[in-house]
Amino acid sequence: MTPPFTTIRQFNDAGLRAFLDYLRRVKEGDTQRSPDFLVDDQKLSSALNPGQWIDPRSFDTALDMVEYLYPRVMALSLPNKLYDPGLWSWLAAYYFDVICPPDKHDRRRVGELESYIATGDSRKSNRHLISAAIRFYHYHRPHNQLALYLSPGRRSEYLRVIQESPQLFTSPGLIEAIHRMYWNPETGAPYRGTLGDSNRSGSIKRLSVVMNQFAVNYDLQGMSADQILELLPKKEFGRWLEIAEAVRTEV
Amino acid sequence: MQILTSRIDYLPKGTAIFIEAYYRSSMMRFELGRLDGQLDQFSLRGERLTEIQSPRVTFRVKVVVRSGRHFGRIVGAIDRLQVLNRDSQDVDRIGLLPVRFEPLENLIWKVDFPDDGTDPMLCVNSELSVEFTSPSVLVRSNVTFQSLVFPEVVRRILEHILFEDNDEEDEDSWQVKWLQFARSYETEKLLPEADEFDKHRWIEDVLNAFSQSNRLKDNFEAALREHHS
Repeated sequence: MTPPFTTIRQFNDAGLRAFLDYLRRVKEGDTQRSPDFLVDDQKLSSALNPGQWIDPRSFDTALDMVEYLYPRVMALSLPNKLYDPGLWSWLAAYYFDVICPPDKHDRRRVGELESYIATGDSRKSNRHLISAAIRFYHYHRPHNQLALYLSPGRRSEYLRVIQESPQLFTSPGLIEAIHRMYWNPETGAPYRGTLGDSNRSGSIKRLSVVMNQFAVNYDLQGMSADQILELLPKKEFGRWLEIAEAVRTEV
Repeated sequence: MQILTSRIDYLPKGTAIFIEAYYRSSMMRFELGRLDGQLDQFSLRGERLTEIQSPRVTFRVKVVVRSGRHFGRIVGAIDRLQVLNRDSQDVDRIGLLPVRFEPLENLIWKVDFPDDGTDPMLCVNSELSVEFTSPSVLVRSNVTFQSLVFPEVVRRILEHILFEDNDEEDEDSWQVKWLQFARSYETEKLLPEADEFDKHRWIEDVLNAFSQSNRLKDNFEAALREHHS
């Protein structure tokens, strides 16, 4: 059973190796138990200062999880906290029942290991289910719904596409534009027809291709959402541009 | 940091100069000033890169129209600027390859692949005791060192990319830059379905062309003759 109230900890090298070993055993079917035996082992991790208390609650969405963890993580006196491998791997272990819950047959479907083990490689760290969500929230409140609307154990395709392109990720105006185009506030979910491959008109992948082309000639990082929306070809994005036009996000 | 510009009278008033510091998804942006026909140099002092999570920072300078119907247009830019402390004797760069001088005990050199995904680096023993030269001059100018070491450095980097860590999705990645470098020497393309044997053969092919292009064999032979004469 995951320990009740505890302060946030950080895996050391031995802890990271132990968690990696555990994940591999789960993936191979050797065990399905919770990794609670790792998270409070004093030999595998150390408490961070100042002590920030967390408890093993459940979360419906990644956004719920992020809103709970973010103030606690940001209060830590830890350099490079948004990327620290020991911190994020420990949090993934602590909340493993949330991000990789057992199914009705008591079996866990472990995805790629980078989803749970944070690495110092910034590219692979974009795959971590918790730290990647936290970073998106850090840079792009309040336009984070598309990235964080799914359950904590599932990575939003919108988040994945945005993370793959630094030009997109670092443009607040573009993130707002994407939010206004694709997020349906009435249903609390994205509009249908916004996914699909890069050949699909109006899809997020197609948008990524188009905006990366614009990034050569336009300063996307300094443009507002309205200015960026003006650039988009109406033939491809007409329906979504109308939706975006009707929405004005209050910051 | 100080940036000098020539007078650019044809640009609209208010055209701005920005400098962006970035590493992967982290970025910080500073406006240096506006081109108003009066100033031709801009500087930035006292800012801290608090949001950049890596000690390896790359810079981009943009000149951007900030008025009228071309608002947001980039009219000038320099990207992928890396800063070296020229007063430091610990780092250097030879083309794509950063070089770091550090104690390596009994090793002369090694290739380091940092965990944070930054560029691979040639590390050379800073404690080499060599008459009439220094480790830095050795790397830059000694043909014996270059002819024996550089092909092997390239080999290790290409093997690392092809067998361990190929990130061709990110066009800014060091893997893409090194593959572009290697492809400039290839005589046959490496096919996507290439197996391990084909990849090793491709690497040999690239190294052979690289060595030939830089006359490494000739230079090595000449150095040996000079040494023995």
